Amino acid sequence: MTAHDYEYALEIVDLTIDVDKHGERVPAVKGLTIRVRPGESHGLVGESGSGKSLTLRAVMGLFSKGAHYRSGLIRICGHEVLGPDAPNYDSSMRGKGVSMVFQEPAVALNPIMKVGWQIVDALREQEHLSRAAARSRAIELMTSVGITNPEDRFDSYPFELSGGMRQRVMIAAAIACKPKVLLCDEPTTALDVTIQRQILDIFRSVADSGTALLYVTHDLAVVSQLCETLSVIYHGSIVEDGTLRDVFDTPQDDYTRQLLSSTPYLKGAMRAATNTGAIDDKTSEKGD
Amino acid sequence: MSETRIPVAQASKDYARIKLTGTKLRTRRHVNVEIVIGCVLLGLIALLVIAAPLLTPYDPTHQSLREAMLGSSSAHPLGTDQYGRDIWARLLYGGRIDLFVAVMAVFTPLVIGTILGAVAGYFDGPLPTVIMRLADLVSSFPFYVLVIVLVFVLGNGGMSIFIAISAVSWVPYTRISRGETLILRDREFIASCKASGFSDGWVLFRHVIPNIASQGIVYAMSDIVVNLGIIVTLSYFGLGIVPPTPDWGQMMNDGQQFLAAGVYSLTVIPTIVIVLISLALSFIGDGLANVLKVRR
Repeated sequence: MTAHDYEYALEIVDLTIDVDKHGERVPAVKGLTIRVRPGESHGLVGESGSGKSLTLRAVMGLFSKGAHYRSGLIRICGHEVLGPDAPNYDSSMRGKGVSMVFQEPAVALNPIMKVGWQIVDALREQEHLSRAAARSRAIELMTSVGITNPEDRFDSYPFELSGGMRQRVMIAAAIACKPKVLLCDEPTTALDVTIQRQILDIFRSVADSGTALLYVTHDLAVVSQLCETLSVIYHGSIVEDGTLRDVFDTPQDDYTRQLLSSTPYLKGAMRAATNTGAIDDKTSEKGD
Repeated sequence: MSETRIPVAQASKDYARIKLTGTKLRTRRHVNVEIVIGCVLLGLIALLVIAAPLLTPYDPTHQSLREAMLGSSSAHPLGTDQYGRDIWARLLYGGRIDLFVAVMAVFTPLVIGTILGAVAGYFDGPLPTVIMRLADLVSSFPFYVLVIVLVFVLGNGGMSIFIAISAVSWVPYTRISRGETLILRDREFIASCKASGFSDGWVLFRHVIPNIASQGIVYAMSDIVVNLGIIVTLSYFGLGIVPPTPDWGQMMNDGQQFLAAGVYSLTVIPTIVIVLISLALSFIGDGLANVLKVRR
């Protein structure tokens, strides 16, 4: 990697976003600060309605109706896309600078367009390749995200693909232009656990190639598998952030502690292990 | 119509892969009986009209008073009118201008109206307001009155009928496509397109309009019938196609004076053709509405 003239690929500083509620504007994201280095994957964990998706969409400049930017700034690769100098969001970083993988691939793909062309579109918009070159590049991308028979799948419509395949297509389209920052809005929530694992591996390799990942989820298990650093968001504010180990081993905030203790992950895993052990014992007894 | 390849979820179960000289050609075998009947009927009429010079030796404007008001014979299959003109020839040639203007006057508003509606639904700000208030303005006049006024101003003839109908009938297409766009705009894949860095124009033409076009197309099928009715009506009133160019409306008008004398064929024959076309288009419209059913 060449040296960057910026330390953080994604920098969200003191971001406040208002939403309309009963005729008045109330802040839904309050003074939120997140910094992600190139090649780092950062988890943003919080419950439903805590403002994590709103933050992500603000980075993308996709404000839904009733959401308004108030203060703070967002920099992508040192370039201010939202802030005092760009109050109306500068969309020039979309595609090559920042891209996003959505939660529901079923609705995040154009239903009447062949999936291959949706990837080709993303490529051609940013890189001005010829049709044939874009097609072969798209097939390469589809292979790299683990789509079997990419030549056949290229001409499939989204409804002909399984959920996991659709999500792979989404990822292929999102990383088509090698964005510096990839935002993930709970991309594995709609998938079952085995597929989830494969998708996380793809994200891992995307991060390893130097892309900064901001991964939004409510699933601590996913964060523990993927992320090096994480922030815990509660009611629109970051209550705790740090490296994965620090936050998991020595949580400082009450909410983080509650969140960690509410995860059935460790206990469940241990019980499962004991159960298998017991079964193994029995079978071995029978074998004797 | 067989070119329409918009996938339908229900159709997925019965598509077949055909291997043709090395290239894989995927066809969806979702045959809609109504569309087939409509297309065959309409296609037949269109073919007859297009092939008019091959199907009749007569000039539709050639008068021969000695042969006036003849009945059906081998020389004149449908007889002749009061000026001795061959009815079969007039029917064929008359369909050319009527059908052409009717189709063009649907195609143009369909394209313009759909684009305007998509723009009005997709963007925020003053532009949508301007478009929709303009639509309100046009639709606040009775449809026929506005068309007749415009034809009166522009003068008779196919071109001015085309302009008049186009200037008035874009409104429903705009309303339909705006409504569809408003729904589509909040769909995740539009956000996803924006996230990929596509320009608004690209998203609009490549993603929004293909997804909303089906509603307008279904409406257009019934609109052709309406247009045909307008053209024929205008000609019937003497406001439409200028004589001596043959046209179905004039043929009805000409024949009307002989109804009392018991000669029905002059009026009834063009009427039957128009009813057949309406029927065909209704079939196609119904069939398309089923096949292009909106999936949400």
